[in-house]
Amino acid sequence: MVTKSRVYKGEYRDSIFLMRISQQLGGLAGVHQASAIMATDANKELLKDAGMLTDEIARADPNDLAIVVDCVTSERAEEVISKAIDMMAEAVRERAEKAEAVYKTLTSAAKAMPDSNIVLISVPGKFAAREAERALELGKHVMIFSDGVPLEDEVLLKRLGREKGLLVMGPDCGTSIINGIGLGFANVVKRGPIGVVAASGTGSQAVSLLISAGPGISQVIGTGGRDLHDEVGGITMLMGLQALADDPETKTIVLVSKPPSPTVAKRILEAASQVGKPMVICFLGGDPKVIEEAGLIPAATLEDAAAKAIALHRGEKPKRMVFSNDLDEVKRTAEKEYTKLTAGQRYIRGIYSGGTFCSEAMIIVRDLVGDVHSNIPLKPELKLEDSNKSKAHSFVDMGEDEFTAEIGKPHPMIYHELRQKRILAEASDPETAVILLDVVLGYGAHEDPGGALAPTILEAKKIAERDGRYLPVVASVCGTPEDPQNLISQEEKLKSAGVIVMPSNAQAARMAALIAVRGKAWEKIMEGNL
Amino acid sequence: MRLLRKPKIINVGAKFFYDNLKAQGADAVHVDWKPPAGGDREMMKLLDKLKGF
Repeated sequence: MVTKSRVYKGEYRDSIFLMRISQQLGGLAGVHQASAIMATDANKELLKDAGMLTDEIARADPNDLAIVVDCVTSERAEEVISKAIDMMAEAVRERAEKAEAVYKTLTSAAKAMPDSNIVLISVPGKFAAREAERALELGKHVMIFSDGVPLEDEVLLKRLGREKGLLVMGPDCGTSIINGIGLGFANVVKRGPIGVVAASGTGSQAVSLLISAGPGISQVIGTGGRDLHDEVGGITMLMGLQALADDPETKTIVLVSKPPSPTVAKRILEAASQVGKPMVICFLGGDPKVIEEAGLIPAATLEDAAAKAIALHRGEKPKRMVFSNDLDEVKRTAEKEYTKLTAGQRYIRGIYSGGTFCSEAMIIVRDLVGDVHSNIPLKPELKLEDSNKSKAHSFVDMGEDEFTAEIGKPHPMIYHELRQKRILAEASDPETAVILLDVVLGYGAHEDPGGALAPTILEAKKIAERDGRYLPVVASVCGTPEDPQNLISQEEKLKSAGVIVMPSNAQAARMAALIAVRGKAWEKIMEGNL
Repeated sequence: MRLLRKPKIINVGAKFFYDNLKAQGADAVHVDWKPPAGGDREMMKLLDKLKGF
């Protein structure tokens, strides 16, 4: 293998664009590894670990663009580098052809579009607060997709926003839908009367698409994961609630978050009880009592939150939903799978791209199968020592920083390679009874996740088969038929790879538990609260 | 709060999000953001002061 590089001085490109170029280069014939990245210190470290840090890149500045390839021959390496340059030139050409105006600064863009009302920020974390402050000074609401923004900056920005009557959604806000337009990662949902305010991106995606199958969504306001921390005090959640209270389109409200501290919970619940619109509150994994005591309706899972909001809106009594398909059919499907297991196959292995889905699934299965180990455990003592190695029932959130930021890989909703490797590793483990997956669609997500995962799942099943085992795989697809990837065709791709596709993550988790304990959890599922 | 009117969006950073906004038919413009002052935070603060921001 020959490693060659090229450095372009002062050529900044955003990380998602470069990730796509890197992926395309990596798929070319004769390429072992390829990377197009900014020569920051963190990226240099990554290249060093991958054995791809050339002297030229080591000397480069953070504002320099580096292309480095590891190829079969020196000639091929040169060809691949030229190809990379062509791809970048093509992107510039495309933009010129579309005659799109491109602005150098937020201020100049705001002058060109004076009636703009939202600024969506996805610059590297350490620069995001500066852009956000500028946006607030210009009188715009802000959504910060970037993570890695210091907590003290978040507090300052949100206080400034509150002073000016402007929302600061994020940092680390994955999803918002404002009057039918999805910002960040968002599903194409039906417009309707139910509004969502959520501290979790996948949580709000899941709730909004389940509601989309019913009455539909008015708004989704994301707050960012730290909004309900004591330091921030739920500033955006409270303002978001007020915005939904004032919004004439919104008739019913769903609030989703991890359980906040008692002080913040009290403040949120007090505000929520003043809104005067029917409301469902899901503090995922939290105690429902505090919510009931505030006279509001608690939901145990994301699916439960959506179902209760729909029922409330229709003036019906909320019912607990366990499986939406025919129960006998569900039973038969599970039985068909678990009767093929060997005695040693005992554990569920959840491999997640959405952190909230991972938590929801753990909350559901822990009552059915016992303790679940994880990199985002429900109890501290269940934390996996090594997130790359499963132990008994293990669920990993592969969107956590340890899998993305620290090793320089994009989020598993966009990039599947790490998840694919993990699926194959779990398939080789004779104790794996069932693999449980989430697949997220919508704007922002991978263009064909089903197509990317299906061959891996087939391979995983073959690995188990070679060792004399059968490997069940259960998944749910978070998406709508209107999403660019199309829910139906994505489900079909998974089904054709032998995956049992369930209508929601909660149902997929129940199915996985049923398989792992050979159907013994049935009564518990039917009688339980989760 | 006037947030919940039809959004008109300024996208700062990943062009990918701008493309997604346009694909939804949203009214949006893109800022081709680059790290200011060579990415040096101290220099950035100084420049901001000079510009009166």
